[in-house]
Amino acid sequence: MKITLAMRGTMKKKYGAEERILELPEGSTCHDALMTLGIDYRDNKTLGFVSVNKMRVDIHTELHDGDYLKAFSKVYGG
Amino acid sequence: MNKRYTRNIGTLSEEEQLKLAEKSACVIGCGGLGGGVIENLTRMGIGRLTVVDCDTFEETNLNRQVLSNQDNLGHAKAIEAKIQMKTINEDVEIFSIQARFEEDNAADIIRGHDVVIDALDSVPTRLVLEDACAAENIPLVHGAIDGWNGEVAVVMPGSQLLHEIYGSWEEDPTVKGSNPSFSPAVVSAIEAAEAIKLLLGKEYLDGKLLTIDLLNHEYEVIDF
Repeated sequence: MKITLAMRGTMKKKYGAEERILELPEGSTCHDALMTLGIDYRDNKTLGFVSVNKMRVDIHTELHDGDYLKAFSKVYGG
Repeated sequence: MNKRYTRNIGTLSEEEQLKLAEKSACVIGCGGLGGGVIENLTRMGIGRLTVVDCDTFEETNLNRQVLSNQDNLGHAKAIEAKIQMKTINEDVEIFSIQARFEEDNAADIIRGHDVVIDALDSVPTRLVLEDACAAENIPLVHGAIDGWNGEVAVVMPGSQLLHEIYGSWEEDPTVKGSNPSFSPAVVSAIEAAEAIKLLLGKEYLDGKLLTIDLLNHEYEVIDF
């Protein structure tokens, strides 16, 4: 299946601003998509949450063909 | 109708303007976000405002905090907020609390308000605020900034939206946040608009997070 991955906020600075089209095995999750690109979000404190098709989902949510995955950084200043 | 609100009418009805004068808000933080929210709510004609901050103005605030100026450096932010807002709209009842917002005083500070506004710059304190608002059954308008980016949400009691966003928070010492002038201006204006919509029974960002990227002009509403 093919999905699109994009970054927002500080995630763009760290991992690139461009959208990526990823070819993933069926059953892959948001976690798998990030790890495919070497984005080990567990090692950093930047990732806030992910959304699929504009809905916030758990990082272990299964993806489907055509999904649009976005990784948002934490926004915390005031 | 007080003449000062003439230009509000059309955006608000006369009935809504009168209704706003009976409402109260508690703004936690009088810095970049707080200054903008406080000024917007004061000019719009909210009835009662409580402003909370333990800090004093310093030179690094001058680039973005609208309540700061070269003459009030070293002055308490919460006290300055009240002094300045009284020069704008003396009809608004304003209480200033110069104290650090924390678990021990959270309930006492927010109790009795119709809405609470998050204008903080600390994630752990935001999580305390979300819990306190849930316990006191008061809606919370959340706002935050980071460089070109910002976000706004309305957190209804029982929602754990901030806990979901920030998760198990751990500060990253390698990341130094930046705060230009325009991000708090945009986010604080949207926070004030959401508060007013909530107070007047209009549709607001319920269970949704508005994400703002001013550099690339990406504005997205994410369902939570």
